[in-house]
Amino acid sequence: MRSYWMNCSRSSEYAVPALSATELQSIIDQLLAARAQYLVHRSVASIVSGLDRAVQLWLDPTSSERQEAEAALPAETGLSPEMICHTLPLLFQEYRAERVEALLRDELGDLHALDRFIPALKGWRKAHGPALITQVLAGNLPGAGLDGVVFALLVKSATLVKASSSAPLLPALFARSLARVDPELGACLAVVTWPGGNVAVEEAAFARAAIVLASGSDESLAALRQRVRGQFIGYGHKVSFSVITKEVLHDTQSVQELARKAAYDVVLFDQQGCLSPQLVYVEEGGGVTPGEFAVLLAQALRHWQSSLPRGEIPAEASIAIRRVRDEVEWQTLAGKEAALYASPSGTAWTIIDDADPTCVLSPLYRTVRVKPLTTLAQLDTLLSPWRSHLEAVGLAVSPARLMEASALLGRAGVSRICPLGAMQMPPLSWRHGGRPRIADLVRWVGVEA
Amino acid sequence: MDTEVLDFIRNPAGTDFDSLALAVFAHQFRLNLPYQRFCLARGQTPGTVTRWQDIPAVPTVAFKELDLTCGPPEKIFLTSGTTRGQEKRGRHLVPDLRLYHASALSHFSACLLPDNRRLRVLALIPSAEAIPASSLTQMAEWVMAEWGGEGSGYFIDANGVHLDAFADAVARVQREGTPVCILAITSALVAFFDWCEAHGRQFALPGGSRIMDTGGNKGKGRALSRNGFLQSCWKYLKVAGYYCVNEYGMTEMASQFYDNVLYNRFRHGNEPRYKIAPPWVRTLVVDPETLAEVPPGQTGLLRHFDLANCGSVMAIQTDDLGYTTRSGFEITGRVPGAEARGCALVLDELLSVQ
Repeated sequence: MRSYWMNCSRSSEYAVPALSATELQSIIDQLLAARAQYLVHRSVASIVSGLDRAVQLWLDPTSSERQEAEAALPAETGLSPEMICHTLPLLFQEYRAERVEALLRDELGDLHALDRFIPALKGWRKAHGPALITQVLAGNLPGAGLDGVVFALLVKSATLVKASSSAPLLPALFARSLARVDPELGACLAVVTWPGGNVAVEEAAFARAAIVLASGSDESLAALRQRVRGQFIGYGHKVSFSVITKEVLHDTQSVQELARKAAYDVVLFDQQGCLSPQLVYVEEGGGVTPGEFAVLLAQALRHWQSSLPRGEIPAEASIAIRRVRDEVEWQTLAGKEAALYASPSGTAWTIIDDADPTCVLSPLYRTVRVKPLTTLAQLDTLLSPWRSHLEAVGLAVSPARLMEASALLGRAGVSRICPLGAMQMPPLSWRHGGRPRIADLVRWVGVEA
Repeated sequence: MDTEVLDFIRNPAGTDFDSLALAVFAHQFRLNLPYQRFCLARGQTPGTVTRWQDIPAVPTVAFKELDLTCGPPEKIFLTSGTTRGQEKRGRHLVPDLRLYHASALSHFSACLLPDNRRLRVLALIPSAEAIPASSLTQMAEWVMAEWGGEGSGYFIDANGVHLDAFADAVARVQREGTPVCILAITSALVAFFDWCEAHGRQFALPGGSRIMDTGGNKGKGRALSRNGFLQSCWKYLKVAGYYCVNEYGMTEMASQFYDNVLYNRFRHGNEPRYKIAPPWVRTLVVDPETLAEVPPGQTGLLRHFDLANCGSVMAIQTDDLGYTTRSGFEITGRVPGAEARGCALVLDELLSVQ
């Protein structure tokens, strides 16, 4: 299966193969055969070890996969070469063996729950993954959806990955690296693509999968959901943000460090991820005002621009950023309380210090509004329009208020709370969308004593 | 200042655009105080700006925040917005309507009536009673008053779009054999084509009939490519493509742009279809990322300099993408998220009333 993708090259090595439904059926046949032959009877420990060897290739800056990705991803993603080099190891470090094992223990209660019957409350139980999991990747970020690929193989399922036709490179290279270090495991993974909306091909891809995992816009997920007969797990459009409470805003030096971390969350992947903060709430009453924090955040973004420059962006994005900047500039000229701090030429970064606490979405690509909060409790109302779309919060808070603030954010609809500067590096145990990851993919068999 | 611009509009041959543009800028810098603050924030004044290309351009969003005018308005035009919508509407305050009148009619007649004909005008555009603050309706009013023959009228009012009545009017014109000029919001005409299809009707307008459409296909109606639109004009009305002139205008500008097709036909010109401006308007294309001027032919944002906007702001930065051609420009897109201009949204509402 490893070579399917690569054999279909046309103009470039990663050109999209024009896949027919018949071809896809044959790929699925091969995947299922490989699973029956290599995967069903293989121990989880051995699968983890095979995956780990592939991951080691990605953590090695001299490996051919890593070098190929570093050379080709800037053009495919629009991210700067510096950003690609910086983020590739971050993407893969979570898939190392010890972290994967810890996650299996956490979600299934026992590392061997997929290998044999393990003691349960009354008797024994064993977990089974389905024969085939099909995955549809959105392609907004390099590496997005890779965790689904890893999880599918861990539960001993063959997996068919439909990469975004605009971003097939990283999934394809990962499949190649896995096939290189562990051909048997590699044979259970196929990365393909087809133009969205090809009904016959999609029918073939979904009909035989017990589970379909998909990420994309709410509209595309709704369309896919209707076509899937098995279980559908969708990851749609999400909104994340940062909150800085007043007790941590005392001396300038420590606040500068907070601003640096908050800016780092914005900068990574040019703010394109569902975990990228779209705005920063700053609680009033600390030693540094929200307006002063906005200035520090602007300085931090300017600083990051020299080490992790923003990539090329589409004209539509430049226009959207200009529109937001223009709006603030003219509102300020009209007497509204707001301030604009922006990269001098181009749209590389934009900070808007906005006295109105209403939650508004950002045009992204490093555009952030800093907004004041009188109390944290205000967030419940401010976030209510976005409740079903909330994902992560980067939170700077005193230990004494951590649980109170977290409980409040959880009630508001947030599913992940993490320190500033860590928003883009979720641990493998992150319950994306508020759901377990591996446990959602298995079915249990219980034996009563 | 208004008189000098008016003279230029009436007799463009004798005046130098560059020097008049700088004079208009100085005039606006002096009298339009929010614009003055905007220029000063950029360190630009009439003392530092020596080329019209460098006159600071105001984004259309500015018209939502402040009244950008050099004097008390004779009339205020509002950008389209829905009654349901919460969005702010842009306001273009026009101190001297004579400039808008002269500019609009002069370029309309050059691009739509190069044969100097009086024609019955059938307007698939909201009437002044329906949308009194629409700059498009204002223009249609003037066109009808100036050239509209007997039987001219509107087919969109506060009660909705009257496609049956429009079809009756078209059928009558066909019987009588006198050519007409249709002024239409693009999506309203597309709705009429759908009506024709649903009722199994096809018409043949008399030779010399012409269509001006505007506003694009921005609303919730059926999207139609430009070629598809032109084919439908032929299929349902028997109006050939070179008699179909697309208008591109905006509330914030007193001047408009039109397809060159009919203009060229009467001058035996042989150029591809693109938009042409009157002599008192210049257009630059700038890079959306840097706002620097791009080389000719490269796509970027359109920035217009319209001397007929003498009483408000002449330099307008749009969110519309396009590129320059030999003596005009073409629009390639209006960016999603940019509000629908040209009444398409209002039309959705009126269509949904029915």
